[in-house]
Order: sequence, then C-alpha cells, then structure tokens
Amino acid sequence: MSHTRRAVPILFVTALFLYFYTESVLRQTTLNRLKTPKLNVEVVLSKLPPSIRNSAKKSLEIAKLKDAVTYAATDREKVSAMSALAFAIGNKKEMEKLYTEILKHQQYPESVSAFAYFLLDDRPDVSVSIKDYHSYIQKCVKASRCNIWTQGLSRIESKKVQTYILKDYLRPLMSEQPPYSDYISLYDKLSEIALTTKDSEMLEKAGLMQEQALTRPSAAEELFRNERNKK
Amino acid sequence: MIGRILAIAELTFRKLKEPAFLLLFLFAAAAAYSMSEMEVLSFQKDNIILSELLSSGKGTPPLTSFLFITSMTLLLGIFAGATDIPRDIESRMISILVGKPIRRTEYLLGKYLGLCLMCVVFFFIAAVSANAGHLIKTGHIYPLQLIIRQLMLVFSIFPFVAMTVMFSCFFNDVAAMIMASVYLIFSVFFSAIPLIVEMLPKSVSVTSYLYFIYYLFPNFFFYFQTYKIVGLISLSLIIYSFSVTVLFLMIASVRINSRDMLA
Repeated sequence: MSHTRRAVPILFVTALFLYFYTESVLRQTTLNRLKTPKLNVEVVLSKLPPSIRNSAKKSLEIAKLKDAVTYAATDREKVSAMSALAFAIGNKKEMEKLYTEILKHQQYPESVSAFAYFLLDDRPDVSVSIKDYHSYIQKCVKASRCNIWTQGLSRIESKKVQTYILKDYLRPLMSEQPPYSDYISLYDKLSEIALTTKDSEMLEKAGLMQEQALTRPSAAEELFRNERNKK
Repeated sequence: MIGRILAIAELTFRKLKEPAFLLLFLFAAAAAYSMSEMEVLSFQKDNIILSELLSSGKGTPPLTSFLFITSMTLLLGIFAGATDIPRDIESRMISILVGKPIRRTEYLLGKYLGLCLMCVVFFFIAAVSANAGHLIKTGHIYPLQLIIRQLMLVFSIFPFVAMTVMFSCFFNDVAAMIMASVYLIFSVFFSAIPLIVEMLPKSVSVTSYLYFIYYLFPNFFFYFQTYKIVGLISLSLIIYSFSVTVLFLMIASVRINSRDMLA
C-alpha cells in the first residue's frame, strides 16, 4: 500500500513532465512550419467580426509599437518608435511618460513630437522654452526643420498665447534665408502677426522672405534630386 | 492486480455483443469502404494556416477517409466512455464489483482498457474496410508507410477515452456526454492558441493567460499533421498521448475513490 502511495505522486509528476516536454516538442515543430511571409496577424484579424476587429486591431497596433521600442537597434529607431507609440497609445499618462523619455534625445528630428508637446508647458520640470526649442531646431537636419517649426507653431497656437509670444517664436526665421518653399506658410503667419501688431518693417521683410521661398524647391523635391544624383 | 483489471476490461469489452454495437460496427465498415477513395487530408487555399500546417513538413500525411474513421471512433468513445461508469453506478453493478477484492482504481483502469479496446477494434475494422475498398476499387493497396501513418491516428483514442471516462466519474451519463463533447470542441478551438500567440506581437500581455488555458486541453491537432513514421514527432506524439491519458486517469481515480457510490 505504501508503495502505491509513493508511486502515485511520482507517476503524476512524470506524466506532467512528459506532457509539457512532448507538447513543447510538437508545438515547436508545428510553429516551425509556419515561417512564411503570407502568414501574419492580419489574416486572423480579417476573419474576426468587425466589432471585435477594430478594437483588436488597435491593441495589436500598440503591442507592435511596444515591440518596436523594445527591439529597436539604435537610439534613433527607439525614439521614432516611442514617438509613434505615444501618438497611438491613447493614455495621457503613458504618453507623457514616453515624451519625457524622448526629451533626452535632442539630436534626432524624430523627437519633435515630444519637444512640441512640452513647448511652453505649465510644469517647469518638463517645460521646453522657446529658446530651448530654437536650439533643438538648430541641432536637427535642414530638411526636417520646417516640420519642426510648424509643429511647434501649432502647439503654441493651441495654447492661445499672446501674439508677442508667437512673434518671439517665429523671429529667428527673419534672420535666415528660406531654404525651401515649404517655409511659405510660416512667412505667411509672420505677415499675419505683423499686420496684427502693425509692424510694417516685419511685414515688408516677411513678404520678401515669402517671395524668396517661392523660388526655392521643396524639401521633398531636393531630397528626390539628391537621391537621383547619388544613383 | 493486472488479472483483476483485465477481468473488468473483458467484462466491458463483452458489450460489443450487443446488437447496437454490432450495427455501429457494420455502419463504420460500410462508411469507411465508401470513403476509401478520398484524397489526402487538405483544405482550400483560403485556409492558408490549416493547409500549410497539414500539408507542410516531410513525411506521410493523413487521409481524409481516416479522419472520418477517427472521428467516428471518437464518437463511439464519447457514447461508450461517458455512459459506462454512470450506468454501473446507477444499476448498483459497481457495488457488486468493488465489493469483491477489486479496488476502485482497478475497476477504473479495467473500464478504461475495455473501452479503449472497443474503440481500437472499431477503428481497425473501419481501417481494414477502407483498405479493402481501395484495393477493390483501384486494384492497388496503399503504400505500407501510408497505412502505418493512418494507423497511428489510433493514438488519439487513448487520451480521448481517458477524458470521457474522467467526466463519467464526475457526472451522470448524459451530463458526461455533453461535458466530453464540449471539452472536445473547446480543445479543438484552443489548439489554435500557439499559432495565434506566434503571430501576436511579443508585447501582448495576454500570452501567459492564453497558454494557461491552452494547457488545460489536449491538442488533438497534433495527430493530423504530416510527419515521418519513425522520428522525433511520432515518438513525441506517442509519449504525449500516454502522458495525457495518465493525467486524465489520475484525476478520474481521485474522483472515483472519493465518490459515494450509493448516492
């Protein structure tokens, strides 16, 4: 009887071990057969009813972005993935946590969403001043600057700040030649501010800059031309 | 001990003499004969996952006719396995049996072996009929490897019967049949969990919960894949079948030993 009592737990543990072990072998073999590019989660999603599909799609999208952050090979890739994740996550606390992390990487244009988000923020520990934002713009490559200017502008405008702050923000544009035609809208905004503040000197200069910008190619055009020349 | 188990198994197996079982056997033989010309088990190209899983890999694939035979056998397993013990309890037959120097676990193992034997005989009759049908219709016999591969489907019967016997130790006959059927349906659905998890991004936090559910059900999908007769997969499949069987029978044994047979 005591032998039987001893044998039962041994048998149970052995069976359990063999179950997990052989299941793992069989499962791995099955999964190894599925390594084709045709097979992905979209195939499964397409079979789901539309009501479940949308929420599942969103959750999967976020999970994919989290994977992209975890497995990013370079800092730049990580910043890019974090920006995309912050945009998609739909949770303010999580988004701000990600943006705070991105602020540590000033050298990449991909950090723009974080810098723009914290531009003139009420919290001093995370707030990005106009001066800091300008220096961030200078650190980024020329082709990406217009986008950074625009994102910062729309963020400041959303805060409904006074016109002089907008003027301060855009002022550096008056002292540099417009590199691309994309800047036209920014000079247009400067003209609008000049009209509001009755600054005729600024209005004249903004008009001049706008004309110069019109003669320049767009950033995309120049990029395309450079690529073609390389080939 | 083995003698007593075999005696109970023989008693269970003798039920085959009942006309209902004989009719069922005849039907299985006729159905298997008529389906003997069905092709290798495959799916339409729309079902990329299933077709890829079933047809990929080196080795011998299962035949559609044998999928049918296995399903019929499992159906018999549900009917016979889920009803035998509850009916013995209801008719007080169990009190007579366990009143003799037979332990309840011995009774359970005897019942299990008897039911397995019944299902295996059923499977082999249908298999012989399918092979005979193929020979008569085409003048050729299946290659030996293909026959052995089809016969290996018999290993799916052992954990399945153990599962139905386990349910029959907990519920009455109808409830046990329903529970066994529902459990089978769930296990078919949950067999897809590893495939889904593999496709999901690694950051999805439900993976461990999904695997927890997955491990509660045997994966019957493993039995229908293409694999070599002699190899790691076939060996693993045999061990897998027996380990799952032992686990189910141990749960059943715990239940039958603690159960009030007069209630």
